[in-house]
Amino acid sequence: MLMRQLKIKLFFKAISYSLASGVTICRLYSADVPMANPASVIATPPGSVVVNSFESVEMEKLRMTKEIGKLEREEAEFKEGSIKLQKKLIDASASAATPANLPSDYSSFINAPSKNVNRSVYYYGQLQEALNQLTPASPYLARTTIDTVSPVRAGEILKQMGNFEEDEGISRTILNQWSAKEGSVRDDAARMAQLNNDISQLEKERDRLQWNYNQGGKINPLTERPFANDKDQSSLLEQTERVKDQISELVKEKGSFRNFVNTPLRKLEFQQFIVQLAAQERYIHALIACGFYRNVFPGGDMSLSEKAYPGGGSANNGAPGNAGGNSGATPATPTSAGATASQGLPVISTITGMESFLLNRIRDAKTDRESVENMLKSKQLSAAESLLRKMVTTAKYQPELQTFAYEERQVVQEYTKTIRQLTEALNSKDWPEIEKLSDKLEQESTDVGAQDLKAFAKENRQKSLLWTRMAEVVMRGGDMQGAESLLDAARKRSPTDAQVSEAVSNTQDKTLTDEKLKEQLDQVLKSADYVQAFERMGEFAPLVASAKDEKQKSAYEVLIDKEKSVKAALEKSSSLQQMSAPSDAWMELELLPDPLNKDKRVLERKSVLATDCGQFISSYGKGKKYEASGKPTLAITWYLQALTNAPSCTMLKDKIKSLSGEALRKN
Amino acid sequence: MTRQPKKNTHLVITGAGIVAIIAIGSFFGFSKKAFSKSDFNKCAAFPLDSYLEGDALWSNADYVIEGTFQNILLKQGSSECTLCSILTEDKKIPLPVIFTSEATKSPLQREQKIKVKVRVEDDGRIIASECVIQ
Repeated sequence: MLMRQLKIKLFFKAISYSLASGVTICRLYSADVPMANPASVIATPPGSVVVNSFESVEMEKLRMTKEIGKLEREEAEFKEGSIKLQKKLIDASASAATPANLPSDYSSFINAPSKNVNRSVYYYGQLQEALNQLTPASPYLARTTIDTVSPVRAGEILKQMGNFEEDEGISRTILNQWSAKEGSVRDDAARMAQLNNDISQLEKERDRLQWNYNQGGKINPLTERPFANDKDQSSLLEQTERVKDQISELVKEKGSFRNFVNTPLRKLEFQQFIVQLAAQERYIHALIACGFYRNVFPGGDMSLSEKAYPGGGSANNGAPGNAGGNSGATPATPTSAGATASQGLPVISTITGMESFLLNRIRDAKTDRESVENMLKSKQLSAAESLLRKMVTTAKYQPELQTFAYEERQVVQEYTKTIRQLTEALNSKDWPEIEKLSDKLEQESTDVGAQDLKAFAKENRQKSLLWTRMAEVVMRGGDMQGAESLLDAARKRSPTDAQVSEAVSNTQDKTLTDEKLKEQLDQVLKSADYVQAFERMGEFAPLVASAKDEKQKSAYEVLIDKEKSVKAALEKSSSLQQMSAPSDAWMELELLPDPLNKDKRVLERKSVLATDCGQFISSYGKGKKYEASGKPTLAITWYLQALTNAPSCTMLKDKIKSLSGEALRKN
Repeated sequence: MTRQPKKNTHLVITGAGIVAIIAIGSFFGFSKKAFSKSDFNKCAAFPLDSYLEGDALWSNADYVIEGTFQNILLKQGSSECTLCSILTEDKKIPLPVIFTSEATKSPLQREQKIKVKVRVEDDGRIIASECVIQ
């Protein structure tokens, strides 16, 4: 008997110990401290935020708050970095960065189809040949100088070039200037003076006849008749009309003189034409025109007229073309056109100077072309693109620019496209695209490094992911506002990154899951479902701890304690049953408070035990009944009877003791 | 030698006293036993089954319980009442019986066979009025 009691005591001690451990575990889940490491509670993916498990909750919260506070400063740093990279990309390719501001000439040049280039190559070959025939110092000559010039041969070549679209009729105009040499030697100044004199005389005659006619029509006061008879008046009218006709004829002839030119005017027009060609960057055409100019006006004054080239023209050259002193006969339009055309050109005062300027420009274009080709060979696309843009503005109609191979232009075009895409990706914060394009750029070009771009993209992408994970941690800590700030920052920093979007989405899903979990917890608490509360302790405990709701926390702990009581009672009952003490086993379950004693598991176990201790149950039941009906002695009787079946049942003993007191008090 | 008769007188007186005491005691004991026996015989046996089922058939009547004294369940000092457990002789069912100081003239010991005259209250309390040790 004693041995049996000892065994039971030892067993209870063991149960108490295990329960105490259970309580400790439960407290660990429910207490605040373990929440210092919520990341360790949840499954932590590789690379996620790992919080030092020994770090205190407050320290962790402080750290998270600091991280959230750093977001603004981080944004400023990001903008600064982004601007730096934008500037770098603009420097790498201005045409890519600002395509809208790009000169249309450059776009046309870059996008010109290959067949145009082939045609241009032939056209410019002919043009160079014409130049070579006229200019001994032509840069296109195989030898440095030639002894003679051949304007006729050059003229023949120019005649053929009129059919080319690129020529735009310039060669024909040059030829016209040159071929007008024969008809332009006549000087019409004397005839113009004669005409002016004749017209003046006839106008005086007309006025006289008109006056006479007016006087003849008046009434003589003496005779009271007109001064002249009808016949005289008629004659005067006829003479007046005849003179008017003569004046009209002379004026007509004078007017026809405007289509004739004199030598100074022809010089002026030729010079203006040369200046216009130079201003249009048609250097070869201008140089050919200079060659013809020398041929038309050999040995003469080679100075540039002030009217043809206001910026550098000779002031002593006078105003050519004002033949007869009639301003109406002076071609005003070419003068103003010359003034416009000379803008942007250096100070040049002679045709020779103009030739020197044009030759330098052509040589520069040649050098630029060679440089660009070398750059393309060595993949210095940024420099090549920059030089090409310069050539488009300084040597637009030069063969060096216009005869670039289609493939070479496409290389530059592709590079520009890459830079533009990079700029767009940087603006849209598309980090994967930046990384991809940076790799492409590094393969395409050797003079634009993309390591900083890649590092920037990688850093920001990682930051976004980090913020997403931090948001998850902060969210689990209960700081929803902080979590939202971090998620928003991550979303803004990487709006197009699929990985970040997925991470943000996952975190938001977790938030929603937590919301759902909260609802479930509320439901469990409301229904006092201690079984669910215990089974889902892994989910509910962190939530309860983070909620900081003491009432909820205590309610949850009560539920957990209930389930633990049921489990302990069942375990204890099972052990007692194994120790052949079915009554004690039954009693252990019976002692559970309401509603735990109505638990399905408890009822099942009790029904099983009832087969072994029916008498005890009957006695106990009757004792209980009498106890309830206020008959303590009867209750004691039955409890004593029950105690014979379960002699170690302290509860029964206590009951008996208690009822005994009651029975004696009544006495 | 003069002291010899004196010594015998003392012994005689002492012996006579003892005999007298025994005689008196035997008389009282016999008479009490005879009275009690006759009184217990008038009482009915305790209706255990009815009592256990809670039937109120015991009102205003004395019953006799024969059984074994088990133990004291509770002793209340103020009213000098003791609730004891008595295991009935026939059915071996423990019954709680309240013993007053008047009912128990001599101390009871465990496993002692006793016969108790009891009265059952309306609320089911069993109150012993007399008890004899068998």
